Amino acid sequence: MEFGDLLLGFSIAFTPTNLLFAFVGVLLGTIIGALPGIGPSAGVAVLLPVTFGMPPVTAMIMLAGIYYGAMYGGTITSVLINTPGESASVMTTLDGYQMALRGRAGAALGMAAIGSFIAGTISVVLLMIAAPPLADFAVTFGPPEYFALMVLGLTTLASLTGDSMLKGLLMAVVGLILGTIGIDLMLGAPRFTFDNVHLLDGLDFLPVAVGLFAIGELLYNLYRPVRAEPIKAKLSGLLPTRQDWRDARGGVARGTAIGFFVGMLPGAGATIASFLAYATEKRVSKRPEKFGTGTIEGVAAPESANNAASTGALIPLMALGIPGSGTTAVMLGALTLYGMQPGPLLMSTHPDVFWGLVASMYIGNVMLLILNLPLAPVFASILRVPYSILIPIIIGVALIGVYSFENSLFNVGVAVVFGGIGFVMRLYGYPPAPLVLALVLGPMLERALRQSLQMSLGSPEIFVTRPVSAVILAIAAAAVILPLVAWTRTRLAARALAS
Amino acid sequence: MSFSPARAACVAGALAFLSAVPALAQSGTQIPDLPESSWKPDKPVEFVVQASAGGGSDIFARTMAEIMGKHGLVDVPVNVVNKSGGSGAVAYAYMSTKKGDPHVIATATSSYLTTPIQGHSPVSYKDFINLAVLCVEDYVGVVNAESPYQTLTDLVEAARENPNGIRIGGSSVGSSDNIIENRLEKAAGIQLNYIVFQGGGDANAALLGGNVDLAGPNPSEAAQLVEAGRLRAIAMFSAERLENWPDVPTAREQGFDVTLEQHRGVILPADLTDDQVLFWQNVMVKLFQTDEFKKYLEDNGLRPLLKVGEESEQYIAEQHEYYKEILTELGIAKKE
Repeated sequence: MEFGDLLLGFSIAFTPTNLLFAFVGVLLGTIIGALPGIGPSAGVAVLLPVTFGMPPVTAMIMLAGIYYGAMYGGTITSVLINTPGESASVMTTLDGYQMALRGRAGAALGMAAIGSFIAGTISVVLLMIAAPPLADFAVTFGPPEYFALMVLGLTTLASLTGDSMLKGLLMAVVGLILGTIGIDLMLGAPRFTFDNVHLLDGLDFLPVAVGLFAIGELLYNLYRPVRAEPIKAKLSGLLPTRQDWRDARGGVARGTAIGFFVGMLPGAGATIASFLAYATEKRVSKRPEKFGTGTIEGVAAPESANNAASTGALIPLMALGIPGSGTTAVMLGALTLYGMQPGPLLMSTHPDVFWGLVASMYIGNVMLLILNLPLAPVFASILRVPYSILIPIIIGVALIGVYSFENSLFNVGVAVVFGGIGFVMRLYGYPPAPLVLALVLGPMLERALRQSLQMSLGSPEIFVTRPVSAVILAIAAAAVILPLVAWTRTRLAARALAS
Repeated sequence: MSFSPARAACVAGALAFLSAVPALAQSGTQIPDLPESSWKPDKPVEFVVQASAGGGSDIFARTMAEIMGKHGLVDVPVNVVNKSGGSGAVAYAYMSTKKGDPHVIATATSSYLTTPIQGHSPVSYKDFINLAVLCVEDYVGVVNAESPYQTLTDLVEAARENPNGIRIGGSSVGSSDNIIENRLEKAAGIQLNYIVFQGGGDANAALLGGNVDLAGPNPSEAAQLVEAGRLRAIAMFSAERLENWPDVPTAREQGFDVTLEQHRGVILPADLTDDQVLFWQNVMVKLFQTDEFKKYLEDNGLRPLLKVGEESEQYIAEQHEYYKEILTELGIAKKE
């Protein structure tokens, strides 16, 4: 990188048109992220035609703005109504919603905005100074390494959610089973599709999440109102306090590091990043038992991670022309549409696009902070709207979002069916988060496992002979064994004490 | 506009020894002379794309929709609608409900044929009017620039010594790279290890990271990585060398008769009147000749190939037989 390049970038990003479209992008992104039922990749895809006729750099600035803006926006519904707007926000529901129930929604949203800003900005710096070498590192991650990463993710799942580990694990298993629906990757055979063409690609995250979280919650409220009265809180008390910041800053830092690293791997992504960030935070915390009851670091870590991950995912895209996520795949298509060849030469053949985009991301993150911090109390005051009015509106919007994703009425049906399931789960205290996370991670895990075994012609040795995968698997093993050891020890100590 | 099964069988017989693909590659630029149609659309046209936004088919459809509007070929709005899912099964199942409706058209590429052959779709090419074929895409064999294999022959030699030892990264079972793998194994008498990644991007990443030895993307997907010296093109799976890749020998030149091309075309619902079909044929022929379409082909590394009417029906039927034979050999065709 040369300083002149960045100056070029800022000179492009600061033109009135590009500033305007960066703003439009982050604003739309915030809205798309906030609406349950529309994820960032669908949002970028739906809005792609709008960018036709724009200069390529302007279009990329807007699309990238939607992408990282959606990571800010995804927090809002997770915190306020316990409904993740996209899969990378599922972890945020765990502590964010609990904070909202205690009247601290503003603090959660504010901290998420600050964490996202820090994570986003640090990630842009890394993108700027080291994209090519980082991309080269990212592609060395092969199927065995992804398998190890997914195992690490799933082993931490049990410890994450709800009061009952058994119920959490059970839901994770249901998610894994649902994740097997669709065409078998290696053999091409349809599994559990019952000759329905809509099931060939498996169940999408969004309709399932809308059903389990939003509709399930609504039905439960009809049955047994959780919150008859809207939350009453003073607006002044709605921003994060100094103590909040002290509690959360470690989470922001670790979330940023994990998010950026995992995000830039083409086969991983923001969901697993947010997940690992939350699990790490719980593990290093001095008060792990408080997680899930409304800790600020439980919001800050995954929110920082998903933002860092969305920027990290641009690294293989910009440096090698390889998309690292569904959203960057759409952006790759966009580059092609504008007549550019994405790939390692993009930075030298179209420096204006790369540097303009990088510079716009600094500006976009500032815009998002300015947009989100003062708005946190405003959004939080949405909770003053009676639940009976708020939720039907949300569900209407969510179902339209689910439909618009693939113009599919089938997905609307999926959301409604899972709404019924979500209600029953809520009734008996089964947490939905492990289910939807396993639904997202399960197919990735299976794919990596089978690819690895295909590479090694069936020998599982491949997982331990490759150093990176061996190390990650060792960490995963430790994550299972250490708590067991600690638990046995306390058990024994208690028994010794009793006798 | 229907196509008799008897004739399909006859075509298939004729093609059993003639590799279907190269014979057709040369005849792409014949512009048919069609009479004007007396029918024209009187409400907005829905242009269904069987893949999601930003992909190759989407870009194809959006480019065409724009040209139709700009050149006044269609004077009602043409709305591109993505109905992705099930490798085309969702979109074509939807199209089959539009029988007799001339205001809906759809893009089609190899999945239009391979998905039904695998038994994943309730409808097949016989349930639609195969309006036109407009271009074809080629495939190139690429290895990591640091790979010891300088030519396809090197790679085949290595595979002979070490059956299953050479890994080829592909996008899905029954996809073009899977077909190339199968043809190459057959032509060279070797056994390769085919590993499915999701989409060409992941396969390219696996190639760059040294996790696979070979991949078979479209030339446009690999162009920059080759130009930047990250990947090396060792064989073109086309009948003749490509204009833009003059230094890359074909597989055939290296002694392995492996050719594959993927068409891109447009289909209509069944049961339209001759006049309605003629209208759309005219649109396709005129669109094909615009500068914008030529630029699109060039930008995306596509070869022009125009087939309309009976020629298009025949081409699709031939391709269908070709894919069916290979997918049957791969063991993934649905048994009848």
